Amino acid sequence: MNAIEVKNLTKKYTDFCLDNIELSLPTGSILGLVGENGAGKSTIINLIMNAIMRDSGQISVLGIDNQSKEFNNVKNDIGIVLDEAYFPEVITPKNVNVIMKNTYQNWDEKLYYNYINKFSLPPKAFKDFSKGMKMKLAIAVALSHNPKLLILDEATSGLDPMVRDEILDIFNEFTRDETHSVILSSHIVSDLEKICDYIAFVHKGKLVFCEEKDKLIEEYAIVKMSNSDFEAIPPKAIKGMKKSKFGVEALVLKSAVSNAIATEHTTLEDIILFLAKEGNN
Amino acid sequence: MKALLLKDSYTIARQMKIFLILILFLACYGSSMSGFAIIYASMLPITALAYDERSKWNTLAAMMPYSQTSIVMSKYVLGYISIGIAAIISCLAQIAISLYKHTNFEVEGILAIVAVICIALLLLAFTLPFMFRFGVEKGRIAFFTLIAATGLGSMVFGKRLAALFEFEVANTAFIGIILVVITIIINIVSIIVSEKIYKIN
Repeated sequence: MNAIEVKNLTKKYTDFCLDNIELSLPTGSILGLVGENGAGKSTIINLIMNAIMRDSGQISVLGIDNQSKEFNNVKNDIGIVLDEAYFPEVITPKNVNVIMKNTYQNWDEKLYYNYINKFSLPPKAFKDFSKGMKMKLAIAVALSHNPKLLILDEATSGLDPMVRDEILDIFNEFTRDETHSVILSSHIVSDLEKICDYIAFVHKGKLVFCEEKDKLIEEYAIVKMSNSDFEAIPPKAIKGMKKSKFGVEALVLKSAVSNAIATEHTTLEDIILFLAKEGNN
Repeated sequence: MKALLLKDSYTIARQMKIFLILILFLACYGSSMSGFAIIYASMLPITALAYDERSKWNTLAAMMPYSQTSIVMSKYVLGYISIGIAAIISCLAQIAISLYKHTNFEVEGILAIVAVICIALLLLAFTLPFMFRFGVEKGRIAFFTLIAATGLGSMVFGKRLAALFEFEVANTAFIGIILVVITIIINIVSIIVSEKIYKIN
């Protein structure tokens, strides 16, 4: 079963259009949603949570249509962390516990305070927290009602590398239970490369691909050669390129180029940068 | 909704303390002054909305298991509770004062409080849809415009309207019932309108 299934999703604004998005998150895995700022990642997450109305398409979350009445109940099984924690500035972690105890049916107070202690969060007002502490509080809330699905929208952006690493480890640990799934949006590709099983790349409101990460890295390769040698590469194999007076660097489909041509291992960042550049042309 | 009311009570706790001191202070000056405290109570949901706006709480709330109805209703209920507390404290303070001063307790004072409660509830009902539609900044302008217009309107047309309907002292109870019924109807309509506005937003 898929934890999230999105079909033909479209949302139009006056200056932006999310066009015919199709993606799925298999249960037990981590899907990374990557794209430049303004690509439509947060819009997709808002649409998945039915926080904004879609124009067309279908979305089911944990097997339930997100526009059905039952979806509000499904939200008890979803942990959410947004780019900011968005708690009122005067409330303390203790207040948050009381509020969430009355919000989530499965709220686990003991687990919450375990996270509060683990993250060393002080018993002071939210406004006095650092950005890292605020995000840790949001993560503690997201994990303390035993969710089956974690939805993270730019949850690691704006954090220093050490805190980011610590947080990514927590998400990784969460998916050790095979009934747990995570969708994580970020423009920091290295974060996604570290923990994701699947990658969906959104560019200017369009889904460029939604594929298994390992398959992607296996599928693509980098070639670096002179302009004249490059002519031997079949055009259908070329997925993106950078030309300079010294030669050509290109992203190619491994299966479409001859074994005689020397290729280099590619990274997710390379794939995304080349495809985004190609999409801009 | 309990969670949302708890959240609001934490965010406006400081205002609540000022509010309680204000009620007690104004109640000492008699029923006409305690009316201001009841009107002030109707503004507390706006303060709570302002805090929500500042922290962008609604972005998070939309992702949590709160229904849109409970998000909207929580602000009305907060207003009703605040107005209720202000009214009870005002009544108790006036009873205490009349006992202390050995003066007769005036039933008219209580009736005046009922009238002020209705006005506070009407202000809440007229203001909240504006707040949900335009946000707190513009909503506040609407609120004060409404107070000014109500005050000006009652000064200009109050006597004429009274003359038109030939209100007499004997009709006080009848007028009171009409006022309560109108208040309830307008609040129900206001809740329906606010819910629709919130869904569109």
